[in-house]
Amino acid sequence: MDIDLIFKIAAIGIIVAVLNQLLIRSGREEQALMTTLAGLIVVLMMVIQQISSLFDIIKSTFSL
Amino acid sequence: MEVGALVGFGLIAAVLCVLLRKTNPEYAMVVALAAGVLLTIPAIGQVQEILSTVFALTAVYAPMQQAITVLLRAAGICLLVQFSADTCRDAGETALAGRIEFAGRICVLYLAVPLITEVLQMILTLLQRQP
Repeated sequence: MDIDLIFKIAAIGIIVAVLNQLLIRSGREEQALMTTLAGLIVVLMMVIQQISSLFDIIKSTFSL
Repeated sequence: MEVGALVGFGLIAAVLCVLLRKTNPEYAMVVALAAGVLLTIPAIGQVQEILSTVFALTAVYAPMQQAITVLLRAAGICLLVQFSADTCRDAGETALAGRIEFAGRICVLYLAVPLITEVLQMILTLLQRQP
């Protein structure tokens, strides 16, 4: 059980929020949208590995 | 696994969710999902040990073991369905959660069909045996 993953996701979320605000204030809305999207994809890739390992464990345990 | 670690993990994840929900709610959902996964994995590891004991205790009677296997699969399906439905409900997709639960119920029912037919056949043989 690693709490580091949760901290990583939260840190990426905060950084993306700050970048989003900065880019919107400087009048670059489309780049702000791209930043939000890229951050979300990075975070989802991190989580999807964990979900896959959870599903594998459940499959092997409950003989599904 | 220590219960203190579990509690601390859940509380820290909840605080981070509340922190992120103001600015970007999608990250709050991802944090909740990751925390749920990381909390469930060690629990399943303990379930494995319990199950090996249950199988050892029921090894003397084969039909019982078959029923327990079906029960086990149903429990696994319920776990997965509950996990994903709760996540959908957290994200505000109540209708989607309901669909997932419906599909899971159908899967469990399909799994139990052999047991139901077995019970019905048993009842039939008992009825035919009566004079």
